[in-house]
Amino acid sequence: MSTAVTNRPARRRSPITRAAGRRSPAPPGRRGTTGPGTGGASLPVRGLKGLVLLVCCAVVVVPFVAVISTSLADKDQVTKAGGFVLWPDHPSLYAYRAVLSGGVVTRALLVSVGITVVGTVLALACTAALAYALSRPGTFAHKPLLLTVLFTLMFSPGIIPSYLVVKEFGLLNSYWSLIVPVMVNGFNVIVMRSFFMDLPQDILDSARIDGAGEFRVLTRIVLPLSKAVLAVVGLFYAVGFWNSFFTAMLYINDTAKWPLQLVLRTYVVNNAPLGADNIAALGTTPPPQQSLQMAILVISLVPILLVYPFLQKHFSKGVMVGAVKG
Amino acid sequence: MAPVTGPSRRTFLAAGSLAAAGAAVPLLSSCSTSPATKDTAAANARAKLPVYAPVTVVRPDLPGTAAGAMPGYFSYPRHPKQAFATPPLAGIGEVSIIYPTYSAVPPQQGDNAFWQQLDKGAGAKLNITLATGGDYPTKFQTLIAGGDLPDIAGFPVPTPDQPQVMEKLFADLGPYLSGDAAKEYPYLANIPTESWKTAVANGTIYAVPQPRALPSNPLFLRADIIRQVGANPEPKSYQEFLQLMKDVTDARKSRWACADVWGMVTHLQMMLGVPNTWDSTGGKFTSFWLSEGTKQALGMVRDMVKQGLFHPDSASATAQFTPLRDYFASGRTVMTSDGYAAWDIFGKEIGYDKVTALVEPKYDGGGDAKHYAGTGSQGLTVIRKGLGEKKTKALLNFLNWLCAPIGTAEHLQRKFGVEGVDYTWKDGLPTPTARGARELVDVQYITDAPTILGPGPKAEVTTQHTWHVRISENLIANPAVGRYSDTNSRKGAQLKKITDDAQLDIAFGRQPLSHWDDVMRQWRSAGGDRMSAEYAESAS
Repeated sequence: MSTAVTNRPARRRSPITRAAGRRSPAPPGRRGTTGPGTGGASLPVRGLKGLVLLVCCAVVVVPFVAVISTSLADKDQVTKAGGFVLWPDHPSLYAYRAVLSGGVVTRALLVSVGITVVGTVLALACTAALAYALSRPGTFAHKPLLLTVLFTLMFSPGIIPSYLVVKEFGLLNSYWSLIVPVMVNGFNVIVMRSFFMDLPQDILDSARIDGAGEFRVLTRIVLPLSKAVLAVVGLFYAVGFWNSFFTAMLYINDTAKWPLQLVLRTYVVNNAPLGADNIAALGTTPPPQQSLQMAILVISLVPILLVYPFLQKHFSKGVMVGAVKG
Repeated sequence: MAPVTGPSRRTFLAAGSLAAAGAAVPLLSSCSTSPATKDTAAANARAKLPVYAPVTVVRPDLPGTAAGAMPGYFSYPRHPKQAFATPPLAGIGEVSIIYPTYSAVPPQQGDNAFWQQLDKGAGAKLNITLATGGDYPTKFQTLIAGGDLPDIAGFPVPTPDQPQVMEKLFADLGPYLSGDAAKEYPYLANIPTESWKTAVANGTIYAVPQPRALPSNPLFLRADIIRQVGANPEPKSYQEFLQLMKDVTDARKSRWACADVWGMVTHLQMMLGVPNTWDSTGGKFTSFWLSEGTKQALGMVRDMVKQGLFHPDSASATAQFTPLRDYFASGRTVMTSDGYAAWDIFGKEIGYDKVTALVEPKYDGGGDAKHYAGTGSQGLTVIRKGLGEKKTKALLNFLNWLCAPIGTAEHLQRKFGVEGVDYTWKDGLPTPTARGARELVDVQYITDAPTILGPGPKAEVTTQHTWHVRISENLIANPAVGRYSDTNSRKGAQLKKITDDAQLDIAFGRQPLSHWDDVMRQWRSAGGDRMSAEYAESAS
């Protein structure tokens, strides 16, 4: 606890220190003195803090490094290491080539990106529209609609009723089956509604005085003021669409339409005793299972990880809305 | 500040409880067990299984045995004969199939030479839907609920209300396969009788099995490490086996005897002469969990863990086949229990000379213990009801085609695809190209010819064959195979979890050995007693 408390001002102070440094040269002989940025701690304490932070970082970073290293390691090293490799001796992209060759995974990657992008855009549009309507008192069927949304938070339909609905709408074996049933999420509606309710009524009123209709108010005033919550809810949706494999398993029969997660699942479910002679049919030496699995992990993680930094700045603000008001 | 709108807490709660009350009704009714139709063995015993008419297209290098050991082959016939004059599905057009897969998903039909050749060989467009093995039961049940059944489907076992589901939705294959009628499908008649037992329901045959060898998991040993430490690779009693475990364990070298608690318990049960899963003496079915031998085996594993013979991560690795295989391949463990086909995985990974399998000795010595038999099939495949005799027969003939054994052109095409594209010949064996390995459509999970050893180099096949021949002489069957227990289909997984967890608790000293008695009381009241009564009833 004390580490966090003493470190925070130190980190905040450092840019100021740098700016100050430009104006006047740094005092000579800083070593050994408790200069700015050190929080006034002595060398052993600083060393200890550094060590603690290093261990904390290592706990987070080492598994990632191990995942990437194992995905790059060759068969012998993985076998010798008993599963996980910390640093590949002879890095090779063999596992990635094995996973990506043949076009199945690349096609699935495109499908997943498509579903995620289209799904997120549509889901955000629908959620924002619904949340806006529910954030304004006096809209049509306000209470019943809100109750319906809250109801979905408590009770989710079972697998088979969902399947039957998707089937009756003729969505089986269509990409829409992965998007439409999960397009509006009750939790996200509530989070967004809370945010919209905090927007000053005066701004909206002034827009109306200027002649703006509800749609214009929503698109020109409300949404531009709500980037934080849109980013967060968008990320929630995007991660959901990106990770969906179960609905795809149920609704999509054509393997060519499978999203990435479902295709990758076929590589990792092999965790079963083999009573079959399927090995005889695979004469070539497959890459060690562990490298393959780690390569798959990397492939499925990277795209969504790339989106994250762009949304991060909105993240804490958006989440806090849900925390206080949800 | 905008006024807070929305329901008050009171109306919200009222709405919630009303909804809960409404939702409770269907939920509860779905939990209740429906009265099953009498799928008794009295009826099932009347079912006439297909006649067993072995077919040998090419003579094996090592013969199979009457007791059930697989034949071994050192090479693959270079010019296999065409077994079917006309494709089995000629004139049918399209056939829809769904089955569970355990391999990476192949490229779509249009880009897949292997799949296209399969269509050509079968004589129809095969619309195959795949589902990953673990998810298959869920997928299958939604298909049933939605009424979207394909022509041919893998039937997950156990499925609740199995006899009723089979009767209502799937074709009775008895008229086509019972007794001598099966001879019309010679390669289905080539499936041993043992493998057909699971295909029976309602006193008739409802499915075609995917035949597999009979022995359950071997305990694989690292022959090289045992040689290196000078230990005895063929223990003749439990004491010698324990000594072997002690000899190979060296924690300083990160090497332990074993990491799989459940597997070890099973192999010790075999050594102690505990019956295979159920004891049916006198028509009464008693679970092997209730036998004294099981408790003794648990105590033995507990001692082994105490003595440090188990890998430190055993508690999490048990039954996780990926880490267990990794430990074994890297020499961190010297024994591991796995399916018999894992012999080839390990052989290819670390070298066949380093892998062997234990022939379990009797606890007190004096010969080989009885090894547990499995079910002889790895799954069932059913045909949709109401397709008409012509189509049903064509589909059966397609399954017959899928069972064409080694030595037929159909076998070669089914296993390896298109010559020059999917495989090339190397050292007398068809060897998949990178493209072939990718394109493989693993139709072996629909059905397949009885399994064989090899084809592969002489030494590798011979070692495995020797083990299989010796083990097969001493197999002990599970009397519940081929019988249906409704409780097992509904609560089997839940009951298994009770015994699985308790074994770990006791092995790792979290509970005393006497805890097992409480667990057994819990297990019996949670459904164990019902299961044994149902099996007994079906055997009476």
